Amino acid sequence: MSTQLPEKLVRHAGIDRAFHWLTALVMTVLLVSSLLPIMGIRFVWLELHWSSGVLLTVLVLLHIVRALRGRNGRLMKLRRADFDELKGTLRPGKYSLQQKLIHLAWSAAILVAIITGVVMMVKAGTPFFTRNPYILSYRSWGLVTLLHDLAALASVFLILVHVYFGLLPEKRQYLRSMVGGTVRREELAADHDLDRVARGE
Amino acid sequence: MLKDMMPHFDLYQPDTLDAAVDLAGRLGTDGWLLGAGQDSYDWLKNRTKRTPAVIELAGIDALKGVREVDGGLEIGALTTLTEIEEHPVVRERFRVLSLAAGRVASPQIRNAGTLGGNLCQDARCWYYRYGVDCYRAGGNMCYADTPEGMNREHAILGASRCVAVSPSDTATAVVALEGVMVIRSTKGERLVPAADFFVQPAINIQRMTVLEPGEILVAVRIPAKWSGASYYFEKIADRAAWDFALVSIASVFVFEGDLIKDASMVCGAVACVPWVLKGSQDALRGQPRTAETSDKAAWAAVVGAKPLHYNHFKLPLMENLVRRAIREA
Repeated sequence: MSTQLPEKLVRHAGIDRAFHWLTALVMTVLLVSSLLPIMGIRFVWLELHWSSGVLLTVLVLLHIVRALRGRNGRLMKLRRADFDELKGTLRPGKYSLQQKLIHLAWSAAILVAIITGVVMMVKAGTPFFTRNPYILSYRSWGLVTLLHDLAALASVFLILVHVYFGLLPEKRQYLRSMVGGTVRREELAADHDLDRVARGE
Repeated sequence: MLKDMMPHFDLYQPDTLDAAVDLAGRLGTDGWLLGAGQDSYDWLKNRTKRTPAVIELAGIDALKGVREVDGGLEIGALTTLTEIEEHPVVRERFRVLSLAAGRVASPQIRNAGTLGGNLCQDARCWYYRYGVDCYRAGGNMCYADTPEGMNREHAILGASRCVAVSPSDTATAVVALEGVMVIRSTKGERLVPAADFFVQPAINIQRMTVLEPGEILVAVRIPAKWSGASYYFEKIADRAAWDFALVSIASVFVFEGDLIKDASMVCGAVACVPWVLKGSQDALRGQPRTAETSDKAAWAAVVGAKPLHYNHFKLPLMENLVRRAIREA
């Protein structure tokens, strides 16, 4: 079946690549605007931070809608059988177990950051909400802030992991496909089961 | 809350500026700089803030007095407000500063209070002063900007989470006169324009000024630019004396016949920093001094204002002060 695959495979459609790089840009702005002031580099950060957060929320919502409507969501879904890749009895389909796990970690970190961020916007003062810190107790605000900060720290860690693996020579095909959209069939065959890829797994 | 006696701290009383700078550099955040103590003693007696050491600057003569420099003035940070109010050169050439100094608090406080202390005093938000864990105190909440918060005296412009206002009367005049702050530390001397000396909460929510630990405001230089210009200062407060401004305005104008050649207008108690009315100044330059011009400048003054629950009254107050300043300067 794999022979039916063309020499050059489209791994990421243009819209998915646009989502990836826009998200990367927004995440960078979010982290820079939150971490630099803590490190002593002072500037007007709050408006930049929450407006980037709103943009990230919109991007994530669009991503979720696209994932649910097309087959992309199914491709990234983590299944029990995927763990057979660890034993070497199964080769990855379009996405490897590691890629699915890091996507899951990203999803958790970003969702926590977005949910807690939206709640914090009620307290910080934005055009979307009437400012009211009394919707939560002081202790609950502490918990919300802690979760938001932990999500930010997790994001920093995930960015480091993501960039590290993205730059490894043996993983370069993924980076190239996220830039140009395509990957060569032989290149993919080195790490993936082309039959599973052809079956849309 | 204990208020009957001062808490313990080590008291340093240097008698030279070099010794004070050295001490401030050595003690860093542990060294609380004390002018006349009008603000500091409240914090310390109420135990709202604590410090292991106080550096009393009152014995340093180099920090006192008004000197003429390059057509302008250099005013030592420890010069008393009464001295500034009554100084003949200040009254004659920079009267807006004399008037502002003369409206601070009460005569007793002006006799002891210093220019540096008045400029560097901390925010007067009562939630913050009471010692609650608000943003400005390093916490994670603003109690003033809430549906039930008592925010009649708070900011309508430039707020970012914290809505406390700059309480200094002299700051408006110093900014209007385009003063320059002279700051000393063990690293040397640096000059900061008065408009940049005060820090907005969007940039640093825990500080009112750019002063870093170990730095001392030693003098304020008033350039000759606005010497002899027409001026207007007014402070609206609940009481005529011993009260902080609800809104104040310090303005200087250069007129050429019927035309307003140049203007510098600064409002106090409307933002966390002395609020430069850039829009109003632009609306005035080159225009005739008429009611229409005043109206335009007044409207421009409140662009972007976001009043809180109890301080909508500050908008018309601010607009009317702008109109009155233009009319009566």
